[in-house]
This record gives sequence, C-alpha cells and structure tokens, in this order.
Amino acid sequence: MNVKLRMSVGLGSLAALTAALVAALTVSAPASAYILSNGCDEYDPARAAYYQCVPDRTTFYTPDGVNPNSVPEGTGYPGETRQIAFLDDGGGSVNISDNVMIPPPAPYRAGRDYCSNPWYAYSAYEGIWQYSCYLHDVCYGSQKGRKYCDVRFWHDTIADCKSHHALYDPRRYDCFSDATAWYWAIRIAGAGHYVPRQSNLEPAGT
Amino acid sequence: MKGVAVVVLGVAAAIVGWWLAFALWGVGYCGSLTPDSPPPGSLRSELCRGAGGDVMGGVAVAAGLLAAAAPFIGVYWARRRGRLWPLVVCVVVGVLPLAVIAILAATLPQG
Repeated sequence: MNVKLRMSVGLGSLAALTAALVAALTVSAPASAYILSNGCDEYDPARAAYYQCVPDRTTFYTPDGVNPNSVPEGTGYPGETRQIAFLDDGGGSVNISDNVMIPPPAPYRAGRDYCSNPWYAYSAYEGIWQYSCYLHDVCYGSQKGRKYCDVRFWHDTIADCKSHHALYDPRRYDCFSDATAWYWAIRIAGAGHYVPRQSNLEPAGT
Repeated sequence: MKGVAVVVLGVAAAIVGWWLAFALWGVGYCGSLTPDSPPPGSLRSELCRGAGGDVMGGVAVAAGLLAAAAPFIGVYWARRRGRLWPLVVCVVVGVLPLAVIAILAATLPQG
C-alpha cells in the first residue's frame, strides 16, 4: 500500500511536471512565434506589436492602417499641393502647365546623413535607412504627395529592417519599432516641410 | 494595483511626452527626417543645430518628461492636502512647457 502510494505520488509529480512543462511551452510559444500562421504577418512579443501584411504580402500596413501600395502619387490630401516633378526624378515627368518647375534632385552620396534626426531620436538603424531617407527627401522635394512620400518611407524602412535583420533576430523588431516612431513623427509634423526643391543641390544631406 | 496603474500611466506619458517633443520640435520646427534644413546663420539654425540645437532639444525632451511626471507629483500633493486642486495645478503647470514648445514650433520663423 505504501509502495503504491509512493508510486502514485511519483506518477502524480511526473504528470504535474509534464503538465507544467507543456503549459510553459504553450505560454512561451507566442513569444518565439514571430511569424504568424499566414507566413507573412509578424508579432513582436517584447512590445506586443503586431505587423500585418498587406494583401500582396510585399510590406506591412502602416501604423495608422494604410496599405502603402494603395496610395497613389500626388493624392491631394489636405495640406498637400500637387505638382509634377521637372525632369526625370524616378517617376515624375515634365508638365508644361505646371507653374512650378522643380529642379532634379542631387544624386545620392554615400556617407552623408540624409535622416538628420536629433540626438534624442537616435536610432541604431539610421545607418541602414540612409537611402530610404534620401528617397523620402527627394519625394518631398518633387511634391509627389506627402502621404504618398510618408507611406513609401514606411515601406522602405521596413524593407531595410527585413533585409538587414533575419527572422528571429530581435534587432529586426527594434528596427520595426524605430521605423514606427519615425513614421508617426513625419506624419504628424512633417507638413510644414513639404516644399518643392529649390535647386539641384538638394537633398544635400549633412 | 493602483500603484502599478500609476507607474504604467507615467511610463506611457513619458513616452508620449518624449514623442511629442520629437514630433513638434525635432520634425515640426527643425525639419528632422525631411529635406528642409535651416539656412546657415538663421534663428532656426541657431536653435536646431550645434550646441544651441542640443540645448533646445534637451529642453523639449525635459518638457515632455515634466508633463509625464506632473500628475504623480499632483497626486502626492493632493493626497497630503486632501484636496483636488494641487493635482489640477500640477497637471496644468506640467503641460505648460510642452505647450510653449508647441507654440514656439508653430510660430517661430522658419527662415
């Protein structure tokens, strides 16, 4: 009887241990399951942030729920002007009815800082975002539509994060998080700087 | 439980405060993340670049943090006094510097 009792206690402990282990694994599963079941959406357990893929699976919806691929150039949102870029700047075309002639952009120069973020908004990822920042500067200067430029910036920075940091690399999600903060900042406060390029020396970077 | 809620609110407020300072001052006035850079020698250049820019950036961040901390100080003071007005005063005074930063960002000349 005593042996039976010991055995049952032993088996009970083993069962409890197994149950605890299964529970622990079940609980920790979402923490490591960065890629969700559709193979495209991603989840950052550290920040409880969810990044939802757009239908064509090329990027994520922006933090304010916009599909970057659905925003055409020069969308004419309030506070935006619609002007066509002068000369070939990667999408613009000459339109003689425009009353503003925008000079072509300066070429990208590696080693220059095109993000110009302040020290209190430092990001460890700005190095990999320089070209995206340059494209955003060009887009603003070419007046392609502020919302269009901003969602392209989101698209580009996220693509940079993905290409430089593999799945399950925690830096990938730090990068997404910083991209989110920068996106919100330019959406909220970038309007005053949405102005046409004044010369073909812009964007100059620093 | 109340303490945890207050701490969570405070951290959230600090993040929002920093973030507003970044958006309002850093991007809104100084043109960070945009192609717009202050002309050399202008007031905006003085306030946004170099040592002057560092100082103003620090002030903007401090304003955000103060706005986040003010409700805590207000709750503490209100409990000691047994009145509500210290909380109201602290919140108003705490938000004031951030509001001033926002007004400056909107009204200072861009040139």
